[in-house]
Amino acid sequence: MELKIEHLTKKYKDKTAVDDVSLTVTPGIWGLLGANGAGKTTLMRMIAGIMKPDSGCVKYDGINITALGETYRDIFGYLPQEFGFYPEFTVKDYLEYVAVLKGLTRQETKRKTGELLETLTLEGVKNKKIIKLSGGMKRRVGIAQALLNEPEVLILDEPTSGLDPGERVRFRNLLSEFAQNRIVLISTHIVPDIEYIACQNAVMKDGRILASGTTEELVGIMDGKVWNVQMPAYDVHRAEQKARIVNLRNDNSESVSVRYLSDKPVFPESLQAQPRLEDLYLWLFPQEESGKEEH
Amino acid sequence: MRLFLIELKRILKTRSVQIVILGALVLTALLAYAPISFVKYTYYDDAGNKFELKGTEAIYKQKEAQADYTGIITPEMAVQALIQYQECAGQYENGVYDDNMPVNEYNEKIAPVSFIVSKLAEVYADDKTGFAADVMSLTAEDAGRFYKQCSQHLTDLMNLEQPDHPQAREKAEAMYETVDKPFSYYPGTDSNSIEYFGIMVLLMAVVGIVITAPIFSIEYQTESDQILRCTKHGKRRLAAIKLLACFTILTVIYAVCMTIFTVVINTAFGWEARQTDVQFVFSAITFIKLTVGQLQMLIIGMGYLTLLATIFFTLFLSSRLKSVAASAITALIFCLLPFFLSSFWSSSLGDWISAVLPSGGTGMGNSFLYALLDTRFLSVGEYAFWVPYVMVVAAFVNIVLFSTLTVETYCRHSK
Repeated sequence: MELKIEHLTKKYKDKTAVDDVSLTVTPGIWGLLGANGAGKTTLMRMIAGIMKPDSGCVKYDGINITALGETYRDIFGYLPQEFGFYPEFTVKDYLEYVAVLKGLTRQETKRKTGELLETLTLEGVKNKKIIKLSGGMKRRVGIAQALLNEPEVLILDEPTSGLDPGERVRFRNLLSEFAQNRIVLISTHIVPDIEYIACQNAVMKDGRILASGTTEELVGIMDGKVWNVQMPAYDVHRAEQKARIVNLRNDNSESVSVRYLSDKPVFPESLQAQPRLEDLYLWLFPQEESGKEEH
Repeated sequence: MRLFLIELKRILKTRSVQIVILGALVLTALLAYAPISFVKYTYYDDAGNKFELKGTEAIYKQKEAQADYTGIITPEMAVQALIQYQECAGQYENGVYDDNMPVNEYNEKIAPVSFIVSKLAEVYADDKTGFAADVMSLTAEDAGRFYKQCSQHLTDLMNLEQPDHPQAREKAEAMYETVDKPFSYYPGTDSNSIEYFGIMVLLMAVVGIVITAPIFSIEYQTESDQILRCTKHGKRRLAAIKLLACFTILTVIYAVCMTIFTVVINTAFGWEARQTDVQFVFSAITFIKLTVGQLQMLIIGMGYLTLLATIFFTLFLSSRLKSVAASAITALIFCLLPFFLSSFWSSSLGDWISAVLPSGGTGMGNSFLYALLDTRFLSVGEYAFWVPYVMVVAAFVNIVLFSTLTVETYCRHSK
């Protein structure tokens, strides 16, 4: 089972949102990291078959997904960044509606909706209109619909936005369990959401895949570039001018522990630190780039 | 089937649809009541007390006064009607418009025969100008030749209106030959109530637009289509099911509203009045063989076709436009366009466009009813086509065309 993205390109009027992207996605959880505007959503829409690429194609087990059509959609689950729904739907009505569209039988619909309502702790609100739910609950309904047909390929675009920390942990556990022998691709700019569950990651910037590999491989890129140093609190402002500071921790009222990224130590007495995926992300996406619009 | 039922349920659970359906039922009742309420009958009793009746009571009185003119109206009856009219009107300086004419006399002598007399004035119109004849100048002999004059008047009028289209003239005369004469008349016949059938069709078209405009657009607007179109049945089948659900809902609404309207109207005016030939209700030279009842059924049937053409066109717009407001407004503009074209752009091209648009048969002056009663033909070179035929063919073509285009557009829609 593999999902092969071959030279996908999508241009908008004055911008190339996805630029000749090629990637082979195999079973397991894949993280697609990138700042807002990196082209993640556009790429995911093309994988979902709801956006036509200008060039290139997506193949599932060697066959173009356009040619597969209904067969591909039958094994596919998708949660878009913006979870849209008919305003008049209750949670239960909505899940039933999507279940019918996914071709589930009455029995399967009843069983799967029951299971997902319980797993995603939506049982208590199943008769409420979705429009009246909180952001986190809406997101959970979105996740539930994506899982209804137990898809072989699951694409989740920013699935954790709006979820509280507890919900995030439950979601990660749910996905880890679900991902056995399935392809799960999660796009996010919140690194901790995938750091511990993704077996593979791809990092996207300006419509291109900059790097891909296991978390360990990607983190390896940052070897020798992450530093820790203690400095007086009054020096922090000056330090910010010299290095890319990724974390500050007040050890006491006078001293601050600073974690920064640099090819070589910038401050005296700096010690090398263990890199994390987030360090790579911040290395690749400096702060000034995070304000771009998502495409 | 399950997909169809769940889509049907979804649409019917939408608040705006529920409001529109309720509104359609209320408006149907009001529209059915309106022509009944227009009928008034004033009279004085022997003691000189004035009575002003409205609605069904007035209809009853009118029918009572016209009892002698029931069934086939022979040339002899036409002569009798003209004589009665002239004798009565001749007593007054300003004829039937004279204020001195007692109301009771008008009710007894003039009103019961006015449906014949007005047709006499029409068929003896000036063949050069088309102006109706002065009733007081017509003779009993003229009245006796009423049915022969009908054919002559058609020839005169077609010469006047279609001087450059001999094929249109020939077709009109050939069609009129098939109309049985003498005509029949049954008291209770009311032209207003028939015209309201046309208004009902317009109302149904508007209801159809309001219900169908959001069907696809709301998905684009809320972005819910992103999920739906990724599901197994979420493309072609879902689009087709949506069309089928809209078709079913609108068919049921149309059937219910039209049944209510027809039953109320015919019960109030009398079911026997449905046997009246349309030539006694509208123009005597209407060149189609129809009774009022058949005309009602024809308007309902053609109205249904137009409704389907209109809703499939609206669904097509909905599948293209990303906002509910845009699709609803565009659909309403196209719904009313034939009316404006026929009112403000009197030309051959304007008439063609007006007739072939999806809502070509709905509206006021441009409706299928008026096209049926009119002598207008649409021409291409030397060929002439009667407008109602064009409307029927266009409605069928629009239904097939826009239902197909809707499904294709939805399937090809890309973010």
